[in-house]
Amino acid sequence: MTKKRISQALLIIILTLGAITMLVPFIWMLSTALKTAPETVKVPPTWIPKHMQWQNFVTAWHAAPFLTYFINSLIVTTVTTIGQLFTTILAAFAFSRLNFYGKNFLFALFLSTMMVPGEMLIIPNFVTLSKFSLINTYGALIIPWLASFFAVFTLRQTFNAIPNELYYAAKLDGSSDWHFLWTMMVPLSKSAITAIGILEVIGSWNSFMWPLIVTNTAKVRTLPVGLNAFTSDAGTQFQLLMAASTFVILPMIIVYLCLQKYIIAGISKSGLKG
Amino acid sequence: MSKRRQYNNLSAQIFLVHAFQYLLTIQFTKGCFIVDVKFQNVSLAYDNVNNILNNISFTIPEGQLTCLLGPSGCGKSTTLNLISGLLSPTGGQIFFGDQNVTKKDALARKVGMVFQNYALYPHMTVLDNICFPMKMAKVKKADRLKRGRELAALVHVETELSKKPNELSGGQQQRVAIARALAKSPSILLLDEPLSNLDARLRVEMREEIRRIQKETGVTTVFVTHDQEEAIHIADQIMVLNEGKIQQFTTPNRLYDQPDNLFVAKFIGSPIINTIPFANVRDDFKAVVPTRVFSDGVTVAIRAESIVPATDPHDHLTLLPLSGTQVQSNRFGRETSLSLNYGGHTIIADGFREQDLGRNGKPLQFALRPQGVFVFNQSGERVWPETIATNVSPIKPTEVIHA
Repeated sequence: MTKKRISQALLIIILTLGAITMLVPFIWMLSTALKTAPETVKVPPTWIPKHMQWQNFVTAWHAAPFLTYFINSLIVTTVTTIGQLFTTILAAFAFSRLNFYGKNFLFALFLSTMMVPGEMLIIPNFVTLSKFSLINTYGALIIPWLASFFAVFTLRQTFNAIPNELYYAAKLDGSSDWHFLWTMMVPLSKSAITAIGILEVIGSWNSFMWPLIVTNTAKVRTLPVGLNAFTSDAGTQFQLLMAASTFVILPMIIVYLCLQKYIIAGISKSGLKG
Repeated sequence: MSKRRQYNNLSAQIFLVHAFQYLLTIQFTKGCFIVDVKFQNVSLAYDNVNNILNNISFTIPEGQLTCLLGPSGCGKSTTLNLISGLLSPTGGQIFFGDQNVTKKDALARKVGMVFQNYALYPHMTVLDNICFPMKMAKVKKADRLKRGRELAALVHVETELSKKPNELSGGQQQRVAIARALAKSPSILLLDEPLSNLDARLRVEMREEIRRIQKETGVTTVFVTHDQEEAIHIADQIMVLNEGKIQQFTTPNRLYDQPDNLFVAKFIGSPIINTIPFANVRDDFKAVVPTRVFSDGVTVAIRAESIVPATDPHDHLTLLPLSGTQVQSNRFGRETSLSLNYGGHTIIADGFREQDLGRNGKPLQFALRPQGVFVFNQSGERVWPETIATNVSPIKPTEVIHA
């Protein structure tokens, strides 16, 4: 009994420490966003600002065209996610159910691309896009992310778990491959597809490096790039940067809180992490 | 389900049955053409190496229930998939009636199929599941819902229409799967080990249900199973398969009474037929078998119920008196099981009453009935008796065992 209690207590302590570690950056961000400029660099640091500087949020919002950035982020994230889900579902179905020449070779080839680090692809992708004169357009922000083999691989595993008999039954009942995919496979893999979608939404919304490289005007820039506005040669205005960060990540926190059930289910089901 | 119906009064039941049968004759003669299935020299090989099926030909008669029976890996499910069109043969032709369907795909053959795990669409309700094939065939919504409800009534799931498959019991899922298979008025209904996921009691209930549904709809039905008892109870005729070859294709009782070969004799019947090397007991049989059998016979097989006490009242029907040693006897409720040592082998007899038994380790006189005793040659073919008149026996062995 006592042994059980001790292990229970230990578990709670470890989990609490983990949760605190995760939360500290967010709390620090909020706290900094409400400080005055001198207070942000004060030693020792203060957790609760002496005077709450609510106007920091207003100043930050007007410091750069955040409304444009916000709309751009929204467009890029939506199109990327929908497009990626579409290609993922089709590719996963092909790899899971169809028989075609070179299927295994192709799959191995795609799988090997997962070993190439993302940074390696920045230059070739940039060169390709510039040859198509797509730099500084939505195209540059969207097209490279329309396919993700990680997503294909995850979904293929989910599709493979659906019994073959269901496929045969649907075929005998007169369903085409296309129809079977959208009326059977997709509804049955709802949680995996939702998880893949959410991971892509978060990834796309938070993406910084790529949009920074392929855009050079405010017209097509996204929110994370906009945060750069607070850093200049003269230094960084931390309180404004943190205020802006708060409203940049707010939509994602809301999305995550609403859909966390699916994210956890999708990840634990496919046995993969995002 | 059946409990609920017990409370209905009899006249209402009779009315319902009549109304129902009327409904069925309308429903199942409309758009449903009943055909036979013909295989002509059909072979199937994977990678041109392994022959799953080797040049087999047969005709499954129309409007009847045919069982494909055999041990796992014998080719029975393969045969079923060839009928359904999910597999294509590497050689030979398949006919539905006069129509050559060898090149047609599963959909064009218009077969209904029930899978071992039922393969119900998990995210759809019972009614949507049943209606799905009709939806695919672009039947009008009102029509397909009407027919969906009728089919649900046929298989007795009419109260579960809005449930999802995982809310149903195994037996109910099975019923829904059958209703769905019947929804497109199939020319042939295929059932692939449909009862193996059910518990023993439900299995017996569902096999009667399948029999009833088949009789009421009159659809040509092919039923795959590895359970010989199930096959004997449900089928009009049974095709016994082993190693991709047809061993015997006939009615259940004939299969039991006149096995063509040792495989069939051993596969059909419970307890398993006793086999003794013919050489050990050749002299005992000298009086009854012809000279040719006397030299060709390699194995003698004797059904457990064909071994009777020497003092049996059917004495005038016994084939020959023999003697052995009683090894052990057990009684299980109404059954007795007697182990005898005869010809150097232990054989099982279950035709003894308790008072006929002797003592363990002591000699025991017994006799053989004329039916249920077979002699097979080197290649396992039956060489004796050559033909058996079906009406010789006053007691049918199948009834003795499975009453």
